[in-house]
Amino acid sequence: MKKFIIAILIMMVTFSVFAVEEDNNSVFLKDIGFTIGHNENYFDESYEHGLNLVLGLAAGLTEKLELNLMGNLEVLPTFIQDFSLGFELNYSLLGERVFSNRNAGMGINSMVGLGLYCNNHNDKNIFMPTTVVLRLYPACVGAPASGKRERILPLGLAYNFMTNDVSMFFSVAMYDHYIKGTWKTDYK
Amino acid sequence: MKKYILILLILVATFSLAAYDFPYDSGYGVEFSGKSDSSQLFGLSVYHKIMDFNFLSPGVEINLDLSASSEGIKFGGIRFSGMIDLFYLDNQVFSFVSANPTLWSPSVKVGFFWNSKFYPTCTLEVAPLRFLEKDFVYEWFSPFINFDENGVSSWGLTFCRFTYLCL
Repeated sequence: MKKFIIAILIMMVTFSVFAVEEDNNSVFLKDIGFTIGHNENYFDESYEHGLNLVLGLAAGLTEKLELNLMGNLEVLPTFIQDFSLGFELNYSLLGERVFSNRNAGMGINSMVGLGLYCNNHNDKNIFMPTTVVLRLYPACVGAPASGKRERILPLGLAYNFMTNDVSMFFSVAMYDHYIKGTWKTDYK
Repeated sequence: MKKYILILLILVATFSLAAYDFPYDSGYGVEFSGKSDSSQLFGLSVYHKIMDFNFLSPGVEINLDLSASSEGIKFGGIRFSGMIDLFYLDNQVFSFVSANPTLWSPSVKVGFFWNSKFYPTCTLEVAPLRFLEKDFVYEWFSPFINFDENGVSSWGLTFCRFTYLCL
């Protein structure tokens, strides 16, 4: 329990640091999109090797900060035998992802994200918050304004504070398809 | 027999006259797939389209698979497939996925797969979500099975395959 509280406190402090840079011209939920992609964990026996898919929702909070609600589903070797649900806060490193005016955000960007995931990878085998993740998105091609974005080769570290396991994860690609905040829907 | 050959020649000539004019016929690519035997594969592939028709265009593909796990990257097998592009559609339902105009071109691949111990099996892959651009071929969620004389030996799903066309 102590570890869980410490993890929450660390995350709250980190999120607050991000929040300092919020712009006055609000772009809160200006862009919303669906995410589909791939994810694979290494060095953690709780995860089977095969194929895992990421499904999620990406929503803009500020010009540089976005919230991702993510589900990680095992597809192979056993369909939905294991899944994780969680959220990540991603901060863009190479400029604004969106602007409060009608200009499009950066078409090529990098992001770093911090998140918390729930799964049953714990001694009690119950679905609960277990894992803090730090993820780097080295190349994000596209922007909410263009309606599409590909996050290429994201990778990161996951710390399961219930079992004290550290693992590494890697994705080939994640694809975001925006339904709000695109030139088609909002820029006419 | 003569009639069949004549019909075949007429069909080939007709298909050729009405064919799309693709700038490139060959290329190389990368792929990522997962298998039912708890393995995940990174692959390198070489692709060549033999003939350009409006539909049922034949081609060949060679894939080198590398198996990745926590223990490292190992040789996963090699595949040699013949393939048929079923058709090419430009005004298609999946155009919203790509920023550039793409042709929807599902394909069927049949061939041989030699696994990491060089045990030969037959392989069948269907690529329903296969899209062509001028320079690229994108394939998503293509299921495949490998089978030998005892039945299905393994099966899986290719999450993505990106092929760069350059020749």
